[in-house]
Amino acid sequence: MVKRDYDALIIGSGMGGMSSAALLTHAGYRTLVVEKLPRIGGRCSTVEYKGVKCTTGVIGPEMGGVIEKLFQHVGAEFEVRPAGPPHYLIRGKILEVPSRGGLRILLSAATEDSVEVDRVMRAFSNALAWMEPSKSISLRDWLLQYTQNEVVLGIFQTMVSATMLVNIDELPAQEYFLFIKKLGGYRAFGFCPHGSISLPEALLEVIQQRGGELWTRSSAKRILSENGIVCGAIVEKDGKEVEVRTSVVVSNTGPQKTVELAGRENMDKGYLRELEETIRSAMIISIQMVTDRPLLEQNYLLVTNARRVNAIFQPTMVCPELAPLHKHFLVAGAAPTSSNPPLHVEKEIQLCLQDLKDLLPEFDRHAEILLISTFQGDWPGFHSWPGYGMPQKTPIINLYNVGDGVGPVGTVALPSTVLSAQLVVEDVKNRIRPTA
Amino acid sequence: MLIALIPSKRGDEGFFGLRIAQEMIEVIEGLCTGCAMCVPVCPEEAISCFGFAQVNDRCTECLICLEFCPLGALEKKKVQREGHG
Repeated sequence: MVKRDYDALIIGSGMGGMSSAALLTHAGYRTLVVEKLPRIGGRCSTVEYKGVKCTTGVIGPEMGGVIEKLFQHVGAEFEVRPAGPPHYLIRGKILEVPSRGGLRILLSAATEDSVEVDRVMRAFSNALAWMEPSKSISLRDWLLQYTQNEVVLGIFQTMVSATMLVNIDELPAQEYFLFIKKLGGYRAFGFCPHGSISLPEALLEVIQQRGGELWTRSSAKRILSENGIVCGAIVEKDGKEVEVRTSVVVSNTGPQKTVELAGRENMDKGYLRELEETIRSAMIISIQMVTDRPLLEQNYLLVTNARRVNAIFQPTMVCPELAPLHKHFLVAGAAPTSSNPPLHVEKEIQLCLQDLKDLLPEFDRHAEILLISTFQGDWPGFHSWPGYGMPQKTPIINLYNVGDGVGPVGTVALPSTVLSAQLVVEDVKNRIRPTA
Repeated sequence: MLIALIPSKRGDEGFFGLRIAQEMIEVIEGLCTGCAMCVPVCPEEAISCFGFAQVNDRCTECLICLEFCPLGALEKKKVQREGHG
């Protein structure tokens, strides 16, 4: 068997893997990324269909946060255009919400009862300042202490399900407030003019400039360890097995797949039990459409109290490059009522389509559905619900996980993934020196 | 388009039996999550996905979909059928 030596092996070219690889090559580690698909990026990638740059998952990466900082640090181009302020559809009316002071405006649109608005606002600022809710209460139950108003609850359901991909009765209230504190609630985001793939591609450019390598169509078959320390992996490349020898393996395949690759027998039983009890993948549905005219006046709309749809994005308003001339690209996101399997997929999709017909009056006449995607299982919304992440470290020394199942508490989505990569690379740098 | 092989036949004109072997792309239930990533890569537009991928008979078995399925949920399978006429 052919043998190859590297300082670090990254399995999977999603944003967790590519961020790790970019940081490691930047720090002088000889790094190899293996990707089983022909295309990089995982769920942050682009697939062209009928002239439209469709997404494999990510629609709007955060701007001005950890992702952009990482790109600056490694010298990668961060080409994202601001999506602008959010608009909410509440009780049939569209409302523009400023980035600060938005909650009071939203609540006032939901209820005429100013005492109720004040009560929720006070509870909210107390929770942020000092009265952190317990881990064992859901956000819905926490809110029910202050309001029974279904429209108010619907606003929170939309905010949470569109960004954190779980429902308010599933999200620990504590995790919600940690998220609000840490990320400012994902305040600003944007669209990539050439599709989400431009983010991993920009990192790849940096990786390759610094001598790092990428093998696509190359699948990791086994992670190798000796005496509890990782020592490499068997990778299938061009139909042949290659032994990659390395002292660090970073897996961007999801914590469960990492266990499969490394062998359950090599993992501590306590870790396996914790994995089983903790990890629960977040399910979402996305519907991608092309239209011959804009179906929204806004760049994106957060929808409250619909059956399933919680957000509709029309990125071509700021990135016309994503669709052919005079066409528009729309993506609708939706959350099933329960993030626990089984997903009653046909029923859920039908409810999404009914929502789109109600929300977009010209949907039937002008929209062509391109892709209906359900994200679940091993291709999930997130590998684990917010608040239910696993640590990046595994029981095998120098074998790490990165991605949206192992992000720090209070973080979600791409920022969470990027932060997990930063934490892993910091640990590697503290413990293992790159070979000269 | 499906390519069919005839491994055996019996009987005569007007009354015969055939065994037809076809190669098809099959979606593995339990692995397909309905991500629809196979749909845009198919050059024949032979795949649809409504919660679960389905391959129709426009498939030419070019196997591109197998390469792009993130879950290995598509496989090439030999299917044998009995027919008569």
